[in-house]
Amino acid sequence: MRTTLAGVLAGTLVWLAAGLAAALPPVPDGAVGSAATDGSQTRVEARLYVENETVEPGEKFRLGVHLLLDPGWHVYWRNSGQSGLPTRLRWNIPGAEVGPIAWPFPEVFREADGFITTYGYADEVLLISEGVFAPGVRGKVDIGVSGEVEVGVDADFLVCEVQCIPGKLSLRRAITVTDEPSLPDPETHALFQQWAARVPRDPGALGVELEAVYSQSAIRPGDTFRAALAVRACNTKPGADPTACAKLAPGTSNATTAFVPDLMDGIEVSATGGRNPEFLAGGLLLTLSGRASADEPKNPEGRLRGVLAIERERAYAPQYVEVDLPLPRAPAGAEVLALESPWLAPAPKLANPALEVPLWRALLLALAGGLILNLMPCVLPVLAIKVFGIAELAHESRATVIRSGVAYLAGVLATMLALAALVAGLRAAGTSVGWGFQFQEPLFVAAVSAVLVVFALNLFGVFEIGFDATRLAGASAQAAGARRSFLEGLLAVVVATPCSAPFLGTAVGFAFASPWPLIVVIFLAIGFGLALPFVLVTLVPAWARFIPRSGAWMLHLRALLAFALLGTVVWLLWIMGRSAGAGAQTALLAYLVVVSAGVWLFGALQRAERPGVARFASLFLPLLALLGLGMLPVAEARPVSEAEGAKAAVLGKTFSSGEVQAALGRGSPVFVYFTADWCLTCKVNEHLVFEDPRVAKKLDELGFETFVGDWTRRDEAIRLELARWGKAGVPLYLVYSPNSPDQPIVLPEVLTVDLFLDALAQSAPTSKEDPT
Amino acid sequence: MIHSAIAFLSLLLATAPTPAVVGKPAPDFKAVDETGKTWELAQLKGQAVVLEWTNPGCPFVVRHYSADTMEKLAVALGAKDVVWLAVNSTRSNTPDDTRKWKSEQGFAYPTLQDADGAIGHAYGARTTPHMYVIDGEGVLRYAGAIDDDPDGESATPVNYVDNGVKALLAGASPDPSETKPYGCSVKYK
Repeated sequence: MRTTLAGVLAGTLVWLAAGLAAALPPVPDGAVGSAATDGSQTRVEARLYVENETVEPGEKFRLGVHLLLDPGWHVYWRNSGQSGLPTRLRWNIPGAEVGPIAWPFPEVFREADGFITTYGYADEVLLISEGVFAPGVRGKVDIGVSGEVEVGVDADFLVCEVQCIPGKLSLRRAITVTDEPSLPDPETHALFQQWAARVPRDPGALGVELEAVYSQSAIRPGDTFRAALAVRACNTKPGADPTACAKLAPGTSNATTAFVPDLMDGIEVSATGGRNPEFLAGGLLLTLSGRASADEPKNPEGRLRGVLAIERERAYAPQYVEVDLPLPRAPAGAEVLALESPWLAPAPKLANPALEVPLWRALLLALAGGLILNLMPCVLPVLAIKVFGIAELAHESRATVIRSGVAYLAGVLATMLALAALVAGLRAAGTSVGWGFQFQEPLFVAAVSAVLVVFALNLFGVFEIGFDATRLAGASAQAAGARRSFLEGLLAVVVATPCSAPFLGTAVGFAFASPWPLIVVIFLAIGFGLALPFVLVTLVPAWARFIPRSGAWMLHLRALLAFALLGTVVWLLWIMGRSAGAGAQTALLAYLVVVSAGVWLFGALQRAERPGVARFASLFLPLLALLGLGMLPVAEARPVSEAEGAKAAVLGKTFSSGEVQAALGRGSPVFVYFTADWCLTCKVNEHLVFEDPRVAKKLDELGFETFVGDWTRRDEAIRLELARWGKAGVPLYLVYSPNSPDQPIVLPEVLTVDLFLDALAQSAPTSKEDPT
Repeated sequence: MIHSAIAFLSLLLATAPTPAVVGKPAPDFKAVDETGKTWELAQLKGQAVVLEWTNPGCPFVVRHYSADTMEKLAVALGAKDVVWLAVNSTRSNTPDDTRKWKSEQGFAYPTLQDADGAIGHAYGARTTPHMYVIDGEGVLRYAGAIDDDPDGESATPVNYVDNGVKALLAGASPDPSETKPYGCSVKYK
């Protein structure tokens, strides 16, 4: 019984295998081969097909090389994209001429999170060429009585999965030249028809109209530009209704893969999105972004070339179109016009939305943003100290009060200036950074912690600010007060940067996208806004009435504020642990203990009335502290592993623009947010809004896919994505609807539950028609 | 105290680079080679620098190394005070792998260890090989293929890097200054 069963099974298997092999039309022995040896196996099997084994002189006939690839491997299109090599066929048929390959529409492959884009074919492809024998071929070529001619082809290709393997093989078979050709084998004919249907055709032949507009009148070497490609399929017959146009959709899973560019003379283009704007009456508008290389074009008449896949409503089968449109070029340094067109209108977000804000508005936003920063959680501990300082000064002379206000302003502005200079300097040196970037540097976090601890110790009365505690009278006391105010200004700026405020995002985005003088101007405006409330207070003497005379309460308040500062240090230690690991966190704690000891020593010298030694120590100790900072083992430290890493409130997948596009392509609405551990504004939003049960429920109900970009440590991809939306820092909240995948709703920096729920509801996909 | 605070600010120097553009300052980098020695672009000012993206597992790299394309050119340019640095951004590469490859092939220049892909992303390196030429001022002057012969079938390939560096040393600009690189894609993590 058992043997019988095994026999049946074996028989079935043999039958199945035979059935699989029969799926492709058979070819003679020399016409099949395999190549691209990878260990013990080959990755590519190739077969040489002729559609008809008998051909008439002067009549065109189709030849094809069928490549069958192992799963996961791909070969390349005529433009391989950012790596790879185009597949090549060299035909050798005595007496016949063979045309170029008719390339089927390629697939788009993205590697390394979309960093490398290539174009090609996975699984299988039939590369078709047309050949023809000259009418008088028999006299010129030695063709036997049978009329048999050998058809030979050398195929050359690169096949890649993770590894790349070059493959090379030669295939041959016979074809008969006769005046009485027979019908082709139906299976072979079907194979040719199947792949020929995927070969892009002239737009005219498909009743499709194409038109392109560009964001400038001509493209110069080195320019980056935007373009829009309009695709329409209208009835253009005389007398027909000109508005009877087909509703078009991308013929691939999403708009970014529906246009595949050819290799053009120094121009790289990629599709960024697509939509059906009203002015195209059903037509499809693809948005493209492009870049010209630094070299002068070989041909001053540029062309935009590529292939396009579209699908007419209810057609259920995509159509493939060759794109070949004018693309005006100009030499380097030529004057060109920036063009605005309603076609390009939605795309400015992709170029640089920040620069569309006029300067006066950016300045106003900067000022308002700076002002509001005073209410954000980062600056609060420093502000508390400032309030205390003011209280202390309440009953001093007006001059002293005003001087302290001016010193605070000077401290804020000087620090802003230093920050602006640093940003501009880094950029001139070829390095771009974002708002709050210093918190991505563990050494900076360590430095700020140390400064806060020193301040706290000062508030506890461990030491006094000033070189010389023995001359605390007169001018010296005033100078010490002013110096202190200056330092408070500095500290306010330093701790303010990880916070973002309403208006500030746009202003800072504008600054980071502008030439350096504007960076300076915007930063100073932010600083001015930040310092403004206190400067105003010092100018209005009436407030002093509300402050009681100084007494013991002040000492208690000082201590209280010192504890608030130490709380901030806890937060910084947390950041350090998250970004550089527990070892770095411990090293920082040890460092803070040593710094405290140094500060205590300094205070002791002050109290011992040893001005000389104290003065020496005031120079020597900070130097020593700096040296110690440099030796902290944090710079090389690795961040904590993902497992113990970010536990976001709304759990999402790690951000990658490719995956966001893929999700939108599947028809899901998408929520993307960018955050950082050091960004307090982000954390507050996450706690108050994302952790709200209504939010989680809504996201789930509407089928949102959520992606998180964590900018705690430097990440170029995230910086670029922020810049794309005109921001230079976190947070950034984007709510995408699959109906308009290139126009998400950009939410403000400070969120409320209602506002967020509204945005989600708006972006839920609207009545999707069932494609079947 | 103010001074030290400002010194803190200037400590934040290492930051995210802009993508490399020909004619603009090349992104700075600081990386160790297979011997642990640190290389910093900023410290090579005054010398032309060639960056070569490499991966011994890639057939295109293997072809050029068996033809000694890189080794010979590096030696010839080295005689003219040009610094040649290979960069390996392959996720699985280790200094040991590099040392082994180096002793097999017998070349002298260092290979920067970039398994996390930071330099590769900063420069937009897409293929192995992918070549960059930086002038003595730190400006990127050439980016693209090593030569005009992706298939390795030309008897007289035009070496873009050789021509470009020679043009630079003669006070001219590389022409072409950008070409389409060919090869395997860089195997980023």
